[in-house]
Amino acid sequence: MTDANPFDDLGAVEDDSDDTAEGSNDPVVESTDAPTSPEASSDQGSDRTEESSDPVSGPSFDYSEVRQRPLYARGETWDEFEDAIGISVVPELRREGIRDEEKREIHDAVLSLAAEEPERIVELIIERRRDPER
Amino acid sequence: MAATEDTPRAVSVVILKGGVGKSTISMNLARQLSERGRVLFADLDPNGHATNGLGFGTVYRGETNLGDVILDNGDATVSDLIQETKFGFDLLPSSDSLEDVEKDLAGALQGSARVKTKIVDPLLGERYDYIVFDCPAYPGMLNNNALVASGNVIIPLEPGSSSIGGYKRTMERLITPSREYIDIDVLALVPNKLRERIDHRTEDRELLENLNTADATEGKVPNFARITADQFDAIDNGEMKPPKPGIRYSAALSKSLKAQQPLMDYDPDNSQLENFDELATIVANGGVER
Repeated sequence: MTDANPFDDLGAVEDDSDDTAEGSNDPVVESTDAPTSPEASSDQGSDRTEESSDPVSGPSFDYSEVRQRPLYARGETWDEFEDAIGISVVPELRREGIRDEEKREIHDAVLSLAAEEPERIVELIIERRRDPER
Repeated sequence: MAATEDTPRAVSVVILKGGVGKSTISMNLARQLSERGRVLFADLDPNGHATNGLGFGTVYRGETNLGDVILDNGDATVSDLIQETKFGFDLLPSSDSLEDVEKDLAGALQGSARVKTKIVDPLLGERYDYIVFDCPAYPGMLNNNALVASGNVIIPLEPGSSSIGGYKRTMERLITPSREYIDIDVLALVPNKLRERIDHRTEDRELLENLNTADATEGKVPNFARITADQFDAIDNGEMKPPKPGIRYSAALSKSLKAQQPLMDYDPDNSQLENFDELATIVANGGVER
């Protein structure tokens, strides 16, 4: 518990360890206190009835809540996924005023999406067993 | 675009304690990764153990330093700084003036992100598949830069309470505060310098048992140091020959440093190499796989 965070000079640095995201240097902003995550609802966050017009600041949950597990997928599948994030997801987030998306938020949303569409998971696995080229 | 099947990745070998083996582990990790792709080994420790240990003492005492590349008044490019080694990886050398650079970084705009924006972002995935940082043993702008630039850490630990204290300090003073701004993945916790029996109450046993049983750490222990609760029981009941886990205290490792060579080049048949190779696999995969 130090009084000042040694990383406060960062303001808002993107964490993009992949090369899909833009390398814009955000101007330094006053470090908005990371929201002490309003108890991240464990069910999928699809219950937002009204989209708030003010850009949501900061991830909805802290890194400390993350459980890191390896995912095993083929290289080309990772490429497709990262392209989709870079080409479709990140630009749309920008339009919504979100500039500081974190990897953990994307991964969390991906798993929620998969959990919502289990039938599709079954379909994909069966399709690929029948046609391994896909 | 990478030449390998793996995602390009940077990693920092860090712990806020000296003498745990950061330079040895990071240098040999860089060497093993060079078997998989193009590697830059970045020595951010002002004492320059690794830089001197690879035979670049003249460069360490030379004119050009990291500050000439990442500070606003610098007039060098990163290519002016990078040295080619005989061991399949390139070196971003430390210098005897690196402490001054650290002071200047403290006053620079977004000083903690300079290595990321000026070195890692342009090079990773383009010129290099992997970048390995050797970090100082004290908190400061150089450690901050390594963390922000890499987003991944490997933490070496040696037996004994002071090493556990170093681990706690590293979490409290570096990793946890950084997570307010960036995602940092702890890829592995690496028991190093083990030499004692683990079927007795030794410090080696204590370290391995702590790491292998705590929920927060057990998934980060490489397979070469993984011992399950059942295996500990079997060892204690005499049903299982005690294994020799972790990176072992070895004369060959010390001698290789004196000979200014990574272990792979000094003693290609050394049994410790498979441990460094697993570390390379962990970096390539982004975590431990059982």
